[in-house]
Amino acid sequence: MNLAMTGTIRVVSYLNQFFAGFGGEEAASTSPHVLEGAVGSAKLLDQLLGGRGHVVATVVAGDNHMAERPGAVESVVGLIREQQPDLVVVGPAFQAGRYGVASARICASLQDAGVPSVTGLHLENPGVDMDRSKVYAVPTDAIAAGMRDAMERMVGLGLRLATGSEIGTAAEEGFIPRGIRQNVFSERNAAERAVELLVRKIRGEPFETEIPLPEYHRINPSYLASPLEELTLAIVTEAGVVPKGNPDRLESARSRRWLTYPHDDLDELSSDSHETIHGGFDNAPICADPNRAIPLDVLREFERDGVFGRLYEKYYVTTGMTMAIADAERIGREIAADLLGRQIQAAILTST
Amino acid sequence: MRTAREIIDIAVGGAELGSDTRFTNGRLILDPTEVVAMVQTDGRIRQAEVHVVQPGDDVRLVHVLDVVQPVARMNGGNQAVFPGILTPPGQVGMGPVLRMDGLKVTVLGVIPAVDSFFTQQEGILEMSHRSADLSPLTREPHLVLDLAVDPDIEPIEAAEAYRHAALRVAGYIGELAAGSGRREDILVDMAPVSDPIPDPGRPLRLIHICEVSAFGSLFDTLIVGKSARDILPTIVSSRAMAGGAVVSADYHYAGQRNYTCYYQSNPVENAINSAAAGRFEFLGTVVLPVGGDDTKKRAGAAFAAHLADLSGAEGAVVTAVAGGNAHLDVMFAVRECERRDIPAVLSIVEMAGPSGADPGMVDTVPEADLMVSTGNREELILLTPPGSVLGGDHLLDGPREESGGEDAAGELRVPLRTIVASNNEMGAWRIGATLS
Repeated sequence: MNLAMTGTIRVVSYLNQFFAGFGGEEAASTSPHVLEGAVGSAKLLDQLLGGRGHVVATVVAGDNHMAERPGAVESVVGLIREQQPDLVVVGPAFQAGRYGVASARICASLQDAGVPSVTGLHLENPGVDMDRSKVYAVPTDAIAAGMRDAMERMVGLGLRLATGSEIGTAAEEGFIPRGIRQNVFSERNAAERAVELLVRKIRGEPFETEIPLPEYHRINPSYLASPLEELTLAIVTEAGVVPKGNPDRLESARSRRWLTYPHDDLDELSSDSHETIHGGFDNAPICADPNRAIPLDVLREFERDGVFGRLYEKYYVTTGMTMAIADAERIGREIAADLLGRQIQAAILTST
Repeated sequence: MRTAREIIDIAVGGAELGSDTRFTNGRLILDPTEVVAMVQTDGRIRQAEVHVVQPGDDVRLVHVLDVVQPVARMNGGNQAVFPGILTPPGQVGMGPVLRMDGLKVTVLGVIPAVDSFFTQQEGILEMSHRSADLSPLTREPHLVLDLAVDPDIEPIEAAEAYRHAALRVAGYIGELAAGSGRREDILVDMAPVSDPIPDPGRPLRLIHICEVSAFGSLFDTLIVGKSARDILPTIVSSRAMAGGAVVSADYHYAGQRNYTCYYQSNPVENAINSAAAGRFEFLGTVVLPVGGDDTKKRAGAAFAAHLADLSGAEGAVVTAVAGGNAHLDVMFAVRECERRDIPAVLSIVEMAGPSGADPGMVDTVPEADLMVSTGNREELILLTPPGSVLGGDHLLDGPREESGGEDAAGELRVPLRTIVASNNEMGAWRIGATLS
């Protein structure tokens, strides 16, 4: 059933204290609560919805409350869901930082719960980078002078989300790219597109890449908690090195887990006892000498020479091939927590 | 002035099986028993079936190994196709080539795994349903060789047996066309041709740097019959490519393989030639084997760019093969081209995960400021049950797959990379990824 056709779309608006008409900074600690119908700038939202839906409630919370109180987002989302909305319109927050971050986090949480939502953010709002892949946000002006334009965009996209329309690309739908790569059919094949773009580049004409260069997070290494010769060291690898026969069936690609294996009674690994099941490269050299990925032989020498205190009795392993970033981040957190829990102060990470 | 057309394309109007074999009025009729007998002259082939499948047929092909274009030589060296494999390598690139357009020879089979890395990856081609839109290879008939080899032979032997069968049949069909009543037409085509009408300005000289699989064993490419592993990049003429100087020995992800037919009929060259007559000059294809380590990747990239420079290239289309570390070679190649003031564009597949949220490449270089996407290979695709299946009863098991062994005739949920040529990085198809 097309909800828009029936005019029964239940819309909930989320606003901060200012746009709800409660006041400025003096009201920024306002705790979350629900007001019936459209309040503050939600009245414009209700008007723009026309006969296609109506604002059944406005949920309000102060910027400081949302920024400072643990569980504030969950609390707001709980209040919103009690209204059983078909669509949640959050903000717009324009360039307001705390408001923008709260708006993005609310939208991401609603997305996880399967509730359609849309917000409006200025491109420089820090909320743009919050849970980006889960948030539909239309670009707005920096200040509230752009309220009507922002609301119109949010209503247009929001109704398409609420009615289950197939959502096109960011460029087609007019929302801020979420960093999601979506497959589409072009009129011409990739070779034809490549030649056309190359000629533009050669001639110095404007061209636009189809794949923007990705930005990778840079992680600065931590300082040692104590002198090297006093600490316990562990080996962590994504090289897929396992005891011969792969007894726990560690995946050779797209793994979602990590394992530990003991090496406390060994001075080095051998091809008789260990192998790699990593599927992303010609792994024969590591199978022939597993110390290439788990440098136990050298670390034992260093340990005997007192270069560091002690080598932890097990090594940590997963398989890094085509692993989803979310899984890699989770595995990293889990291994780090395990290391800390065992009073291991440093780790050598070997990669392939 | 060129003295003769180097590649002569003959359109195939249709193909079917019959009680005899002939090529008349642009239509191919094949006696399957004759083809089976030809294939089984190789004692390693234990079972052989021959089918013709048409666009729109309700059929699913599984275990697709390679797709080849029928081809023949025209200047007396009648069997000089696929040099280094079916004919002596000394004849590479000599004489005009007859290439049949509108028919493919497609080989299905199972190769035993060499080890946990070198394992054949599943390849699916559906000729109808919505999934037919996912591949460029569903627009023309396929002569399908459904083969099984002696189970006791080594994997490399098995791969070679399948490959030779496909190439031999492709050469045989090419010869049918070359020896048909249409030869007079072909000879007319071979009359001297003048240069294209010159532009007021000189045509732009463009080159193709084509990364090819060279990991070894089942992920390899044959250049004049020799493994591409551990060789430096080399430049190959269009004529030699069309004649089969470069042949696939790659059975990695089906979506992004460079099938032999794409070496024979290069999508990049076709795009350059069709862009506008006389505006561009295609200099040739620099074959860039994937390097096995960092040093080899950098050396290969530099040497490929060096060959482009020596050829007088004013622009380069760089195309990747595979993903992961193979993307580094082409990134370096783009960098090396730009360092030599040769503007470059890169055609590349993305590995953005099923949701599309992950970075599509393991690393990049700042010089790669112009890239064309051949799609996110990890998107999950739903295939509805077909009317019939050729190639096997179950999908291949593989340690690299989330699953395996599914009923080949059932509903399947598979990554896009399983669909033959869907993400081909030589740019054969229209799928690409965009920001959402």
